[in-house]
Amino acid sequence: MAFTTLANPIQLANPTKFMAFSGRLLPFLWAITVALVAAALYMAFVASPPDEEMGALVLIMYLHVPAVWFAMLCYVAMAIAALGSLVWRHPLADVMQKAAAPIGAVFTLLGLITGSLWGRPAWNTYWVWDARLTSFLVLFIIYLGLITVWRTIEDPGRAGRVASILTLVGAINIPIIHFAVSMNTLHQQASVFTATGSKVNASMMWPLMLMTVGFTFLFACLLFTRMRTEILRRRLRSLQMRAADAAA
Amino acid sequence: MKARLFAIALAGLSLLPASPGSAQAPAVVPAPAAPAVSPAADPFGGAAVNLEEFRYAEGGGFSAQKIAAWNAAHTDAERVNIRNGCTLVRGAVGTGRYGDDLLAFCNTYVSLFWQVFIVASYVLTAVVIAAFLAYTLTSGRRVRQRLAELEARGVRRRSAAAT
Repeated sequence: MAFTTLANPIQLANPTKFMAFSGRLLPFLWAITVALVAAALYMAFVASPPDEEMGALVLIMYLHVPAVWFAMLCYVAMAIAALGSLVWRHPLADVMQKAAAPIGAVFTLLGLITGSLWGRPAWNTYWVWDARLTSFLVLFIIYLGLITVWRTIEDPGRAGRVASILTLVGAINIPIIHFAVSMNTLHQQASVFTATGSKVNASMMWPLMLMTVGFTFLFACLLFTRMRTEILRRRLRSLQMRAADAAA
Repeated sequence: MKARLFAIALAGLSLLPASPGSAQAPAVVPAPAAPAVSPAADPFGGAAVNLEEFRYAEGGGFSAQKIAAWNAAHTDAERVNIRNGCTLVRGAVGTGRYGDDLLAFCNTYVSLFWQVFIVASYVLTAVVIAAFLAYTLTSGRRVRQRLAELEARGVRRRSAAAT
């Protein structure tokens, strides 16, 4: 079943088939997530040396960088789903958007927390109102706004349209965050992916990449779990309406 | 005054092991009679740090209580001043400007100062992810329970009824 679905992913547009597919996949995804994060932690704490400049403080990088990447990647995925919802009326696009917004908010919050805890010893301050940090805080506020839209508009179809438009408008913030490191900021320039190659030593790149892949699987686990709950919630809503109609 | 504090700091350093974490390290280099640094450029000039207290906090490896006690006994300005001073000391490695003992102190101090932030980062990340996961699983379980209740009352989906 899972292999035939993978061969023909268009089947996943059907919520029932998505439920069956994700139900089989989730235990494997969780196992891979735990294994990858454990391996990344081992490499970070045991196999990787301290940084020449920052010393042991480099350990925060293994949390901060993946959290920030996924805060932004989650938003990009939501923006694509918003297009899918508005243009193609894909049945799972709304479900994906609603399920992903809190996950993105959590990753953004982690990026803010770990960034502040890194900034205090490195820059001597927890926070500055510069372009990079402020635009990232704006991303967190946008996530909170989207969660509020989903929670306050009762009709899922209408909530989906409003949230999709808001998501697409808010997507302008993603390139701003990305290019804000070129502006006047305390934040360091891009160092992992640059035009001249990575500036991170291989001994630190490995745990960073392992943690990033681990966060990818964690994101998939959380997203699938929340999407399954959202599909069930929509079924519950329609059943409750049928029950209310029958009672009337 | 600043030069005197620096001399006190160096004298205190003579009690520290030459390498951090090594209790069996040989005797350290004696403190120089007079630092070859002008008081104005002395990174430890404004920091009245009691290195004996620091040594107590540092001894025995990482301990949250010891670090908390040591941090509580010093002002924020003192800690920042020492950190900045250590940055200068580490930047001057190989110049002969400071002794190896001071570098050892700084390496230990800086990692001690930073451990609090590193531990806080990992603990907070674990707490946030665990709380979010618990919330996600709990809300899913609640929805399933309500669905089961409705189905037990005979309210079913059309597709479920057809099968």
